[in-house]
Amino acid sequence: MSHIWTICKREVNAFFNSLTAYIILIVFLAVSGFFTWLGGSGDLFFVGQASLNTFFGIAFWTLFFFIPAITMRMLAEERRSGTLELLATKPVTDFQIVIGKWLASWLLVIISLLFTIPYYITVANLGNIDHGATFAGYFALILISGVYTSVGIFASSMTKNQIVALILSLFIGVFFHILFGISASVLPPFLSGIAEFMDLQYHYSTLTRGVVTLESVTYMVSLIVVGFVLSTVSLKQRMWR
Amino acid sequence: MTLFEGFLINREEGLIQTALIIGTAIVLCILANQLIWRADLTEDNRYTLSSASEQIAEQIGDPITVTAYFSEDLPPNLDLVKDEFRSFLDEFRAYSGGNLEYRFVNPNENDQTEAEAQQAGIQPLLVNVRERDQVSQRRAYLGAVFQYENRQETLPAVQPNTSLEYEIALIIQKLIGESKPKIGFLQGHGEPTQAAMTQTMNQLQQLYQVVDLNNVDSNGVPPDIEVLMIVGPEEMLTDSELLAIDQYIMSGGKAVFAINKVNANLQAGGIGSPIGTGLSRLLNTYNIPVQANLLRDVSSAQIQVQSRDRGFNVVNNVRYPYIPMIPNFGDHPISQGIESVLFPFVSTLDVTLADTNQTLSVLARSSERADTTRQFLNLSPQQQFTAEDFQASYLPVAALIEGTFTSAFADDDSIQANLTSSSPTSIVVFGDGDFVINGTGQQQQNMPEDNINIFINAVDYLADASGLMELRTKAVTSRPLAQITDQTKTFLKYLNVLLPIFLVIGYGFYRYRTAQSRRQKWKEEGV
Repeated sequence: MSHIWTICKREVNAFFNSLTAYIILIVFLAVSGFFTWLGGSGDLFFVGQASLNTFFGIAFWTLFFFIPAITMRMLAEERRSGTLELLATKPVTDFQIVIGKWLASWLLVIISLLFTIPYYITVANLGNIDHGATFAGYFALILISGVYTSVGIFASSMTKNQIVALILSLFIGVFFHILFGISASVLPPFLSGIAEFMDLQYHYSTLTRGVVTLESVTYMVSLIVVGFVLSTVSLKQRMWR
Repeated sequence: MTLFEGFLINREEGLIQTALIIGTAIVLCILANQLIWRADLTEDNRYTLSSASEQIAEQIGDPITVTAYFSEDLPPNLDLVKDEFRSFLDEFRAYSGGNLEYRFVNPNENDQTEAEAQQAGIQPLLVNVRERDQVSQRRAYLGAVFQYENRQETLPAVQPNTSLEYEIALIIQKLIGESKPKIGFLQGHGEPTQAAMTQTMNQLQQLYQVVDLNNVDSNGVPPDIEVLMIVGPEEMLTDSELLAIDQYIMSGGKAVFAINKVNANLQAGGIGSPIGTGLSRLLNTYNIPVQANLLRDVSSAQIQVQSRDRGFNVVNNVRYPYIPMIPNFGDHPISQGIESVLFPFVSTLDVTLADTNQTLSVLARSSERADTTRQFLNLSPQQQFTAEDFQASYLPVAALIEGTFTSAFADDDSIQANLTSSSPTSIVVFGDGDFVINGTGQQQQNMPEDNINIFINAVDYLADASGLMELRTKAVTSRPLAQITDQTKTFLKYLNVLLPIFLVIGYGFYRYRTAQSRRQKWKEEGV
């Protein structure tokens, strides 16, 4: 466990020491903030309800692009610079490396989400906000971030090139983000049920309206764990050859 | 040995372990999907379906297909209704074991979808929309069609502030319901026919099988009648008819009494005459008698009165206190949400007699300025009423009594009553028998919506074993933002966009300075 935590701390520190990190963070907050507050015909004041649903709807998309930008370098960079081999000489397993990197990326996303707390404070002061539903909304964001982070780490484990990792992560993510949902409406009933279950938007919308369901949590946690395993397999392959 | 050391150690092991983990994840997901476990964190448990709705959803045997015709880019309050409608469909689907499927169609997309929506019975609403700083009117659709086997039910237009859970549950119940519960209207004593109660029947027939009950003296009240309705009888009931009604109630039957105590005739100069039906015998024993009086209330309807002024016929609108607009309603599912009911020539109830094994809930009361009269000779609308005519307050005109009752024939040696006391049951009594009557032919008139609502609510409450009643008032919750000046709004908008960004920049700058000073320190120590 201590190895995982050491890797995690190192990554979080490294992130905040790079200028790129701040640019990514600022772009995320600027885009989320713009569409939540200034968007025109869909912003929070236009909707006129004391709820952060507008933000949750936007964050679903901004996180989709933001997370791969964070995870792309996590393992790809280690592979490119050869530090992965160096890490392998230490008493840590590949699985621990994967979890450490995932935890670091996930924490970074959670920290970015903490910067949106002013939204909550403002809305709570302007109206009778539903605190439970808002909590569930943030819980949904954190959970879905875990999934995309896991996908991102897997993508990053497969290549030495950060840009390839970014594109690969978006490619895998888009299935869960939107394609399963679309295919649910065209597939025959049995398959459409499965596709719908795999659609993250379905689970996300249930959570953001304030309903935490066992199926949504199990599904997202399963995706995270499967992501860990596949990333580890991907790293291990260099030794299996 | 470190944790996970043997994990994915070689290709073969790795493949097996990976397959096992993915397999376990799939099994867990299937199990979680089957186990419906949901925690509703919303403040008012908005999305927790009532047990009645859950039961209805669980009863869906074959797939129900819902086609929701909702326009897009609606004003925010209607958009909220659309989101809520979708949310409730999701909740019903979760409990239906996947037997409810829905799709949303935008009828404004093209003429074909719009025609399809209209053909299905979806009614367009005219709404104001803001486009490029201009307000324009457009047809909006907020309806849905539910299909089940070869049956179809339409929700023509969802109104904001209605209970969507109730609307959906009601439609599903109508679709899957094998047989409708029976309610029986007593006939044969001058009661209005079903044709004279069109508004009420339109509503009742959606959920109930409405039957007329004739000759209850010989046949008795059939035991499969869920609620016995005694509305506006004008003639005397025989002892054997009263006994039949009494024994039905003693056997746990539920009943609504809407009784006229006085027949008022405005055409004949405003003279009233008492109506004897014999039902007082029952209601007196059940501890909820309708008094032989007439209520007059300052809160009343206007009627047109013709008078002669300097040789001309003049029609004036005057308030007529004997047609009260009852404004006060009890906090009970039957009367919740009701705002005003018109009770023409209503009598008050004595609500002070309930036993300890009975619970009495007053459903409707007069305004704080009212009174009653036992003299029915001068009911003329042309008379002058003064403040002294309205000395009493909050007089009850409708009530529900629940509990056990004693038979009206328990102590009568001449009539043999099988049951002398009842199992727990409920009775609703209205001191007026006309408030839901539309009449027939030329005389037909529309009654206010709330008149019908309180009456249907009473039937629903008595008949409704599924408990859908409570859902009627569970409306879409609106949580509006406080009204603030445009200046404050702009300030808050930019504050929220820029503050997080400045916080990030500030933190970066802080880290940079700390790292710099640390480096400086190292340098100095190195020197």
